Amino acid sequence: MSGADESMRSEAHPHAAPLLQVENIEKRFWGITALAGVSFDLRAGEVHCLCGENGAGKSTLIKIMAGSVSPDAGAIMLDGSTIKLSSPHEGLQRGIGVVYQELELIPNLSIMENLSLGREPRTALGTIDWREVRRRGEAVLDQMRVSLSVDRPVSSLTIAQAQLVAIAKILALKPRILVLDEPTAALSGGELATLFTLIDNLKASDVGIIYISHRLDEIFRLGDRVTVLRDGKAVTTKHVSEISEDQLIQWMVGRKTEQRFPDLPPVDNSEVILSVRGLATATLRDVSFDLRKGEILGCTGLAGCGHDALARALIGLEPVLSGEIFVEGRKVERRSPRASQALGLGLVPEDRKGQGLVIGASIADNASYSVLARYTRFGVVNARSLMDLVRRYHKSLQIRSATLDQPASTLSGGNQQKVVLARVMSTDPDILVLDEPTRGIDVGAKAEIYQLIVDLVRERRAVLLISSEMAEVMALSHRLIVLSEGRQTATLAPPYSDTEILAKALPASEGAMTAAAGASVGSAPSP
Amino acid sequence: MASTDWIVGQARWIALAIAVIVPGILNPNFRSYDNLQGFLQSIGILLILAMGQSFVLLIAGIDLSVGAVVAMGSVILAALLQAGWPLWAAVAATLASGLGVGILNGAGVMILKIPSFIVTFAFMGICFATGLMISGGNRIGLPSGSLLPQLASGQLWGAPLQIILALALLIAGTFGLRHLPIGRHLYAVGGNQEAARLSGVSVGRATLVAFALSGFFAAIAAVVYAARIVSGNPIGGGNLNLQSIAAAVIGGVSLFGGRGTLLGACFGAILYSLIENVLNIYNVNPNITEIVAGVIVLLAGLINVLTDSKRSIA
Repeated sequence: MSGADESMRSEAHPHAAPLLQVENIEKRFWGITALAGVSFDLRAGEVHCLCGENGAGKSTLIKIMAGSVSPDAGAIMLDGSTIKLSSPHEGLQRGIGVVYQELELIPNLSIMENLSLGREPRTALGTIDWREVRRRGEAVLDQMRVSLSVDRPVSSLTIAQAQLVAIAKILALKPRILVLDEPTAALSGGELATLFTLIDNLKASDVGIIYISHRLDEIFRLGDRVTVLRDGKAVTTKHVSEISEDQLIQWMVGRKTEQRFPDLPPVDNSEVILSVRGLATATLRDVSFDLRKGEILGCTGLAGCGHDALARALIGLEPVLSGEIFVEGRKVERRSPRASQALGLGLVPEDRKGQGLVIGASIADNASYSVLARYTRFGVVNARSLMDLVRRYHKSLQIRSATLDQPASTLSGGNQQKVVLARVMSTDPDILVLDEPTRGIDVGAKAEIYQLIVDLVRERRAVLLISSEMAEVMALSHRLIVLSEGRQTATLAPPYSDTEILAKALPASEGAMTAAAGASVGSAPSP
Repeated sequence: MASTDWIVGQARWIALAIAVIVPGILNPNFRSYDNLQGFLQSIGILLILAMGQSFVLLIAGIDLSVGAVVAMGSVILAALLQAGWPLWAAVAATLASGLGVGILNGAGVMILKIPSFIVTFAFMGICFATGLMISGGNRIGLPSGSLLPQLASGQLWGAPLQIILALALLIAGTFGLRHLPIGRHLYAVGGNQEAARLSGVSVGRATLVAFALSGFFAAIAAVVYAARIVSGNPIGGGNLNLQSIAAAVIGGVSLFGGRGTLLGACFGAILYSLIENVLNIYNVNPNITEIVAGVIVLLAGLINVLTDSKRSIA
């Protein structure tokens, strides 16, 4: 720690001694360096953001601080004294609570049972003290200003609500250190406001917060300090107020970012290739649009607005109640993922790990699943020409991996997404439906995915770009539709204004308020 | 949505009502006192096994050894009684044998990380073979004058003893699942094992307890079985694995873990036995009864898949 660093920190919190400190942490997995001597500290009452591309070492670092991974070298200090953590449970007991990206909840148990799981209060007889379970649950939800009945089973919640309950579960342990790993990935509108208010309150009560997010605006809104990790090293630690967004991105990627979005090629008035009329499903109503060759049609809305249902309905994964879909002027009668592929429709699904990839299989296998039949003669796969195809995409999509035999699970999020894209591209689709193609991937990989999307339309393919990241759809869409509570509320053409999109995306009941004012947790969109 | 959910939720009660009312009106034999008594005296074993199996299903496991534990347990019990052990000691040893198998099953799943399907499949073979070795392959009759058969045919306050026993297990088991931390942990481990682990739930202990309870309940069923056939039968209990799983699943215990109740499992056992009983009364070929049983399991599994896919969060 240099003297300059010391003085910088004491400016922000003159009385605060470091709550948690890690020094020269090293960690290798099977010979691959994940962390190469990282030092980091957190003070009471501050929000310390942790930034870096996927694979930079963020998750390893928080797992070490949580006690679920032990470091090869280096020290962890809590209140100035060195500690050893042998399990997440021990970390929790010492006041270090981590909210992971995967929701750590039990679907069939009620909210209050989830909140007390593993530390159930007991009566003198050893049975569960249900009154205390309820009191605890209500207390923590009240503290978060979340109005949900604690009796509701978690399986009945929206993903955003479940995310808040997951945070509540850790908060119920009254941690002194709270680690939030991409807490806002599933949140929007009211839930975001709830979370931000909560973070402010926790800061005021001297909780130290480590905040990981790919959304840079959140870092600048919430953070006191930010530490950037790159290739397993802490590149820099700065006060958020002293730096700009561009600087931050540069530290993260370690190379000059020329522009964040590529230019869109113009669309001539070419033929309509996909046409949707009055589409309705369990969660969607009256969605209509035309998509032309060489065009990117954006589709956005708040979480739960039904844009994922749109992708699933188009590809035949969700029953269509009414409405029609035309591909090249012909009405689509039978819809299934196979039939869609035959029609030239390809889907890059939202849930990369769950739906896009066979995560344990190799890159080559994953990239070739969709075309195995095409490369099969007399029941035998022509491995050589298949591998040629895979190699071609491996190169053109710039998938970064040592070999093609590496399991997809070893890749970073961005490279995994490229493998999915390679599989979909191998079917040579005319229409691509991209559902949240850049969710959870880092800035550098995002830029590459954007370039790939633009390359797709240069090849005269049509793209339906479904995304809840407004900046992304605004920069990359020739036209844009907005969904709100399953209804199509607008069809817009550039220049877009984010306030207009937001106004159209907010549910009618909340529309009058500003996004941040909705303190109550939004309910699930009514079907 | 809500109304179809309700119908699916109530489907089992509707099915039970149909299974009782239709043959009850059509066939005087079905509603005869003798048949009712006979029916009640035949269902104790399945009731107990279905409950035991449910503990394991709740943690998303499966126990294929219960039928073999029943056979082995009945042999151990009869052999010990023949050797002159007092009834209480022979019963205690039998229960201990089932508990022991359950603990070994649990240990195999918990420590060796072998899927429960394989571990309990192996113990199915081990237990059947043990029973055959002890008995030399033949049935062992109970000593004359043994009080044990009373358990199968005796009554207390006009109710069959074995039904009272099953009821006591139902009440104790349900209380444990609802109100003891370990009971809730079974649901948690079956619902999301990783989340349960990170919450500080001991997954190993929950696994061990679930299999131990299943083995213990199977041994209780073995005692009832020996009482009922007045002997120890090393090749008995062959269909009981399928039947116990079928009964639990019909009763709404999820094959994927995390959902179900003992009351539901008992209900499933009753419905399954009723259907068997009705087919019997109509003198249907017993082999066809097994086919019907298989079809019921498929249907129950299908309902299970349909309802569970709707319930997942993501």
